[in-house]
Amino acid sequence: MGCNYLDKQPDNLLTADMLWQTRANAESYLYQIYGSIQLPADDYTVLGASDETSCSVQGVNVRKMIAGNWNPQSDYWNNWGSNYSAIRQTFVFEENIVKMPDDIISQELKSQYTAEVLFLRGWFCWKLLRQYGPFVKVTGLLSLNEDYNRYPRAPFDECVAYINTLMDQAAAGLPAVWSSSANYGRPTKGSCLAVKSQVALLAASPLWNGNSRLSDFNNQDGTALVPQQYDAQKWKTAADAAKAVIDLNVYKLFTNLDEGDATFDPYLSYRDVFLTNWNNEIIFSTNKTSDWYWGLEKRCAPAPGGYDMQNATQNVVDAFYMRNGRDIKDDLSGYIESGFVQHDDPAQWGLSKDGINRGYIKGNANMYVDREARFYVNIQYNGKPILAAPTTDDRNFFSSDANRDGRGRVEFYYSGKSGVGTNNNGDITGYGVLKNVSPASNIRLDAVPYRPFIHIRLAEIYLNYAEALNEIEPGNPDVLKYLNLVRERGGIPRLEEVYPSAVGNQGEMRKWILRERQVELAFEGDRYFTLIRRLAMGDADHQTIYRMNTNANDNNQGFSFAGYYTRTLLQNRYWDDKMYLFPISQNELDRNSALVQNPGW
Amino acid sequence: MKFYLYGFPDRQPEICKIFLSMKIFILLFFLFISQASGKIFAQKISLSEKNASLETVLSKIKSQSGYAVFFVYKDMQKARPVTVSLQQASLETALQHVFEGQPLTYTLETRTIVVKSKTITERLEKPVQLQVTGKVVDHDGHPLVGVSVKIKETNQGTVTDQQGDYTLVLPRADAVLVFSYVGYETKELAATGNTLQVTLESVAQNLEDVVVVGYGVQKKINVTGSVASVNMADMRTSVPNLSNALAGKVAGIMSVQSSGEPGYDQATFTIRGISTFEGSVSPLIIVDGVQRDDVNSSYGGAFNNIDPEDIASISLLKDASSTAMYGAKGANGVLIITTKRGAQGKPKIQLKTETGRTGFTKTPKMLDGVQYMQLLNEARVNMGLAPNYSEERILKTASGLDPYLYPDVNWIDEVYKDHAALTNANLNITGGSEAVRYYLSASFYNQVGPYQVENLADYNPNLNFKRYDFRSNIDVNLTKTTLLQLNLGAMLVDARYPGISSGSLWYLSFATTPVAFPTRYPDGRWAGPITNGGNNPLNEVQNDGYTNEFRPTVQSVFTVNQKLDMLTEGLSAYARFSFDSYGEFDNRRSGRNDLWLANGRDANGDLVYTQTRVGEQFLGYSRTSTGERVMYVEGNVHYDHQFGDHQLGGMVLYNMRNRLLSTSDDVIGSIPYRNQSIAGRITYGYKNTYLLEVNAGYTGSENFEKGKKFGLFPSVSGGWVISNESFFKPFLPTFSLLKLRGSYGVVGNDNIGAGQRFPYLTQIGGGNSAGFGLNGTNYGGQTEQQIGVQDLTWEKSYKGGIGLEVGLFNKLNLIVDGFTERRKNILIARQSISSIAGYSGAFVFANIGEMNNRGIDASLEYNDQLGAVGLRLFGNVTYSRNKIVFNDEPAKKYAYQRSTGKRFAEFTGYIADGFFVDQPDIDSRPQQKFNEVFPGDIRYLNLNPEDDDVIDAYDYTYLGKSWFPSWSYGAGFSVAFKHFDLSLFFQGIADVGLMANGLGIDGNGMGVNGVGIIPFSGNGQYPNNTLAAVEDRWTADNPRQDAYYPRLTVASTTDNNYLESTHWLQDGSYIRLKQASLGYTFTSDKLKKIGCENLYLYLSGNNLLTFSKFKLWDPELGSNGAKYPITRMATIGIRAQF
Repeated sequence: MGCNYLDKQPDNLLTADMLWQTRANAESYLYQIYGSIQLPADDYTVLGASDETSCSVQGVNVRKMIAGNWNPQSDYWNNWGSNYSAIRQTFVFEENIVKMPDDIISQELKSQYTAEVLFLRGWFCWKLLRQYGPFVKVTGLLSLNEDYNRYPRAPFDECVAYINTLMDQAAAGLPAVWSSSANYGRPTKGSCLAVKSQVALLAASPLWNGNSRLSDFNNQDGTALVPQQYDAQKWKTAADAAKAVIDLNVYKLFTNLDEGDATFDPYLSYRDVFLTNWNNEIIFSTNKTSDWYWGLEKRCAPAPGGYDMQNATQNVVDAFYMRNGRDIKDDLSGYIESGFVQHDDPAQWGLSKDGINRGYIKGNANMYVDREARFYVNIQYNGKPILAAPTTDDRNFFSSDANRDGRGRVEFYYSGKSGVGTNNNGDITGYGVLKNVSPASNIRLDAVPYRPFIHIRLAEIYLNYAEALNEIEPGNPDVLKYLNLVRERGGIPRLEEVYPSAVGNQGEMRKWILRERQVELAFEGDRYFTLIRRLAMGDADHQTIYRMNTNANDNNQGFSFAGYYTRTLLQNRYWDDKMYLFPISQNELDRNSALVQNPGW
Repeated sequence: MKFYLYGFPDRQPEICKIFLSMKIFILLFFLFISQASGKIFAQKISLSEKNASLETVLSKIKSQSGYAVFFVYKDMQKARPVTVSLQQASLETALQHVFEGQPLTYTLETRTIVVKSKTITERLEKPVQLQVTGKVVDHDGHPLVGVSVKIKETNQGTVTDQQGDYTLVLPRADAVLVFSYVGYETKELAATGNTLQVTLESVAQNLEDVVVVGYGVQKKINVTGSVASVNMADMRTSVPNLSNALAGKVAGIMSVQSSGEPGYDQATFTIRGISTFEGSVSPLIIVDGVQRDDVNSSYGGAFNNIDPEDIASISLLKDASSTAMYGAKGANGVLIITTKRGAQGKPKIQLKTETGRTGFTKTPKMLDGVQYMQLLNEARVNMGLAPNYSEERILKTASGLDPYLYPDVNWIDEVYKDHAALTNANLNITGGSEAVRYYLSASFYNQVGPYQVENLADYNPNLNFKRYDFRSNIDVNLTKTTLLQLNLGAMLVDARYPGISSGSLWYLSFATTPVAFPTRYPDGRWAGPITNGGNNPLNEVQNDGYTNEFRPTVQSVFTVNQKLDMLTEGLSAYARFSFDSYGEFDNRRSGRNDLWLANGRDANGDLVYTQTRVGEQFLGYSRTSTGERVMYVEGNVHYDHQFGDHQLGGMVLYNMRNRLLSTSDDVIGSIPYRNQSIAGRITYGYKNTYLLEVNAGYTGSENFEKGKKFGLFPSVSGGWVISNESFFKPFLPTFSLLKLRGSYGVVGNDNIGAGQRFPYLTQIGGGNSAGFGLNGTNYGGQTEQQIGVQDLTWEKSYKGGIGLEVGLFNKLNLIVDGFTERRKNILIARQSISSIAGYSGAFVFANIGEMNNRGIDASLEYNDQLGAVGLRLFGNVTYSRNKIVFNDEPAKKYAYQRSTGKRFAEFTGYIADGFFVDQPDIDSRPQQKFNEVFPGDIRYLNLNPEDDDVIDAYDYTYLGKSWFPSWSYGAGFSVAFKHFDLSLFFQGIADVGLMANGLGIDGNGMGVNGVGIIPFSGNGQYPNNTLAAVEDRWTADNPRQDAYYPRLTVASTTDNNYLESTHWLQDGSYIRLKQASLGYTFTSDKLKKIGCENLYLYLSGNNLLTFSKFKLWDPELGSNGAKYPITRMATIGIRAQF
């Protein structure tokens, strides 16, 4: 009682100083930084800002974005602040971890954690660069009373160099492979090199390499933020960066043989890249038990078990090859636009593992017959049995009375369970997304098993390498080699067997490489950034979105209603070249007068 | 020169010298007065005394006249209180007045007044048998029935009849009559004539003369701060919740109730509005001298559950002068509640019991099945989609022939009854001896919920709110100077709620389509949709189980009062200890039953079912419990003394408070909330005319770092009672009171926003987690949740006020107060720090917020007796308007988007400009960038035409209205005629808005936001139902600009038409008939024989009528109409006294 009554300090409170007194607390701070890594499982890149998907829910931000209805005040996916918060924490961690006594945390662990935190800082900078372009280079802790009007954006090349430096420093302290599986999910040398590959590819791409549209993009003091001249050497840098990952020799493309199967099954090989607990194709992933995979599957799943929310477009459906490796527009492809198939898929993909033939089935539209394996992994089309429904009862749940045959064929037609005739929120394109959907899930009961979220995998690095190399040495055999590795795992013939004219033809080869990216990396968020960095997002092809005629009344003909299978315009999206970069939030500009807005916003 | 006043032994008119040391003179009263020598004494006497003791009055006469006074102490005990008002009277006149009706007489000797008993001389002169008659009325002139009239020192007496009249035969001429009545001040009057009219002041009225102020009481006339008292007669209401009962009852209170759910219906309750935009806006609540400020928090609010029957007085401390002593806690004003205490006498029993029905003030009207289908079709066609429902389906539904396959359900009617039962009772007993007095009370409140449920599966899920209040206030005179007081109050809430929360149930009642499924099928199966298809609200409330909530509150105060006159006269002290315990224990039984959906009929015409949900056999069980305790210690020394014309008072106190959340979820919450303070007051008055008061609190809070913990909060105030001035004398017959007062001071607040504490410490807490390994093992992360900032200090409120009190003809009283407040150092989370610093996501506090609040409050009261009709008119009004002065927001690109300069919680939105007429109209206007627009959609104004020609996020602005009103008022009257009395009370708020675009209706996990308002919203299988008001819409055939709804679409909150805008900003003002009562008083000899002195029967109602421009739901609910409405009540009750 008396004078020190109020001085009962909250001594049982964890304060900033105490954080660095035990290993567990220090590590928990690191975990928080890891937790700031965003899983782009629900953002614009997957939910309808590129030509591969459209979101059926009205009023969501991505629908406003593609209608041009956003501005610096809208704050859609405003990741500016959250990335900088994470960057600040990397500095706090780096400054404090070294001060901790060795008997609490070993020198070895300290340097490992420091390397991890450098990787993380680089990662967050990379995310800023990709979304907003040149960022404000923060190289240490800033105080609350700092004059923030003195912090302008750094030029693009300086930002790239900063990320590369951080990744190099991190790589030096990280192993090529974690000896203990308990560390899966932490970055490796390869993770650092892979980020460098992504950064280099962006830097070499037309968006930032000789883009005349950005020539006046300067700081207030006149500092040019964008390199003014095209530099072909940047493609070399990009090719080398990708090759550096490959040359580590610790990664390989996953196949079902790795899971002990006797025969190669392209469907399972490609599908299970995403569904295994761990495989050697993964270069960087977030291994967190969380609800992202439930959200993803719920969003992808058709009604009534799911939300019918993420709808694949006819554009991406058409991008998938035929089984013979040919484009559907190719006269030799064997693609038939009309009619229905009268037999089940003879390939019997997936049967060995799931007990169910995952290819096409009798009664499917011919459009979906003889397509490549990756088509069946990625696309939920009208009449294709639902995947995340393990029992007959579960599958019947998705069927109208007339279709209740235990197969659970999804009903995207007008009067079907997922059709727009019966749902305000029915599927609007006639397609759903199936990538990363597990047959072990039961979406009706919301039971979804664990899998890591893959940020970077080897197939992307192969395609990065092929793309960059083709720009400087179109004749280099590695271009074909790595493109074909991806095709072969997808179960289709090598490119030169189908389109020999592409070999050595830089322009045609570029087309097929980008097509391969579209197919292989479909629904992984890559499509948006590829179209952006290639300055192709504004092309009419990518803004004119098609679908099946889901609005035509089937008059209860169901799957056999031919009027459904008519290519119909879904939307002409709005495009303005300013949208190649996200706007910086007006709030941020108001807080820092040195910050210049991205061009056009 | 010295004059002595000596007492004398009985009948010894001689002068004796008495010495202090002689024990014999314990019986004698000794008064020592010193005067400056040589002073010439005026013979003119001025006196203004009310119920003063004869000794006091004589001592004043002595000091004014210079005469010595001699009397016998024993005689003085017989003297009755003196009420006298004289200006410049002669000594003789003064003495005649003073001795009028006294059992004493006097003689004037040389510069000496000798007082002696009348008994010897006069008693012999008059005949003994005398009769006196008269009427006893209350303050308002109503006859008081059953008042006990006794002849003092005898057992003789009577009670007043139904007209308040009495007749009594007196044994002797100087008999003193004692008038006593429960709830009223006892009066003793000498029967000097044949008639004696008596006005008894109720205890509450009496407290107007002596007002409860911070840490003490003051004479009302001497109060210099802004203090208002609630008339407790107005608090006789069947409303269980005290904060709701207070709305409109007294100037200064602004309260907004936003739910009617029993047990969760406490209001946002403020004194003089809102002066801070961070942290708590609730006033400090003092109950029986102890801080109990959990008004708007859990446990239903610590004071809301006190039965108004147990309350003796409620004081409102509004300005800095009256609240400065509360320093740390006083910035939002102080509400002081004092419970009733015992009075000496035989046990007196008061019984009140009432029963009635409760219902909703307003039930929203939704579309019926046919309207729903037609309008949904219209909306879909408007969007270029095919209609959902065929004509055939609509016709079948309209026919009502097969309500199972083609249902048309009004879910609100199915779920809610029109009215439900309410009962409450209070029994209290007062009485005691000279040494021990008691007030004992027990009350019971029982309110049944409005749900259409029954006991189906061995439990009844209906809401049932039961409250048991017990109170025991004991006073013990340990010695003549020592008083012990013990207050024990227990408020025990035992309530049952359905398994589904009331909010979710309202949501479902709004949301559920009328046509998807019926409530039940003919064989008793419950209907329900498949997953993601919504819910059957009636099934949810009937079969989801129930929660028993037990919320015990125990409040105890122990006080020792000690008079310290032996040290110096007028000095006394008390020590107080209080221990409160609060708890909540919830047992939840959750249920899940089988649900079925009929898809069609078989060949026999029987329904064919699909099972849509598999239920569980047994109810699930879960429980939660929370609790906290508060301890409080106070030591208080005070002094009050009159030196001639000078009145001097002082008070100093020390207190400590310790509040411990015993079931806190985190470490920070588990650290006790501690406060410590020293406070003092000095009052000075000269001739009861010039008044000065200085208050100060020096209070400490653990919330700040060492060296910053304590803050000094001083205030000064003064008053001038103009009507006591001699120059005012000519106006006195008209102006019975004219008083001017003013105050200025500083009050503090340590309650920073968002529940954050210790802002000077960087706090680490749970953050994002990471996962590693083959199976994604999660590792919890920790991060800075709050960045510590040095040099944080108190939020300070600089308050000034002036007040004017006017009394006219002793009938009309007017009090007007103007106030201004500048709140500085508001602890706000920084917003202007650039995100590149990396602090977003963590709290960073700074003492930089500023806000203004200005206003007026006033009250008027008029009492009159017009023949047999007693009349009372009263009204009060509070106006408060606040403005954010500094908010640390980033400098907005457009000034009209800055919150700085705007009011608290001001709505933002676009400025609507009617509906688009046609395509050329759309083309001619700026493009609206929310979604594609069509004729019939809402047009908005472009606020930045200099920069762009589009309507986008840069075009929203502040719209001038807030959900919190600027005006709050209440007015009413009561009339009494013979045995009847009638009173009506209206209450209202004005200059208040509500945003009826649906954004206020939160899905809370039940579905999308905006249900019911936004047409056919929702992603489920069945689009949501919509308010019937949607019929009033723009259509191509009837393109009315004055339609309430724009072109119909299947819409969501972010659609062009449903953005926050002036189109949806509605006037939330209302006036309601808050209370009405009609009563009749029974009196009869039969009643008296069974000991019942008084029986009063009444009908009363609450919220019977509401007048508002806004018609869709009760406007007091604000922007969210999809929740438990405000309730109305009608009760019949009886009050009896034994």
